[in-house]
Amino acid sequence: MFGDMMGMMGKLKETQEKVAATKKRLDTVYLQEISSDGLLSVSITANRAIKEIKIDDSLLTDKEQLEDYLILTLNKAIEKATNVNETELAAVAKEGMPNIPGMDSLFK
Amino acid sequence: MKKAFVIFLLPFLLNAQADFNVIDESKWLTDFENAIKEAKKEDKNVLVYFTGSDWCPPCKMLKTDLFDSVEFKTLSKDYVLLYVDMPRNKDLLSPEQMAHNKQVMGIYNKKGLFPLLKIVNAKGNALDEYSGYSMNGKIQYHLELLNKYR
Repeated sequence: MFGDMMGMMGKLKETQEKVAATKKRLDTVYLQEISSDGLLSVSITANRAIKEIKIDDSLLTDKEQLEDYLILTLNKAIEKATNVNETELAAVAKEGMPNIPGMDSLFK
Repeated sequence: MKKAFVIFLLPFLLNAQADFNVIDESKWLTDFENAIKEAKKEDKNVLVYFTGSDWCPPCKMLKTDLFDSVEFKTLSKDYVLLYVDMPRNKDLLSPEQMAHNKQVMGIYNKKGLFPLLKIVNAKGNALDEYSGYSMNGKIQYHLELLNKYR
């Protein structure tokens, strides 16, 4: 019984380390969100850190329009990064979980 | 027992190989020195592609969306292609290839970004780069970069 417990604890520790390594790795994954007309683009890491915003000169004349573009594109970029982040971390966490009935649904 | 184990592993090994073959078919080299030699010989620039083939989601999608596209097949003829993979599973590469890739990373991808396309001339000087991918099929910026240095 204690053997099982120790094994499980070891596996959990291993999973924690894998999750930490994955989080670190996701810092290097770059995603982009580009407005439909290509006038504004945002680069974001899979850990949701915004790294670059490119704005076409034509957007600089209309402050309100630029604000709308930024809100739309930034939100989409954050959503995309969140999806990648959650999917990758869930995959690593799932690998390290003991086989408990019903546990699968937590990661779906 | 050993035979049974190998048979059990065979589909996984073949799958890993098949995954690499998609890249291989487009004439991707895996050795930097060879790529530079080829670039000098053919008077072309080198397109270096940095990827995490088994862990980086945008890299995986870029392979399908960009490298399998008709546009890329045309543009890539004007480049020497170099594939630099940094997989999580260390068994996917030989220790020598991994060491080589780390060395290339240290020179041309110091920030360690994935995916990254880097244009290098035949003298080994970096000309330009484009990092990241939108994961929604928009490859115009990647193509613009390739068009600019062909």
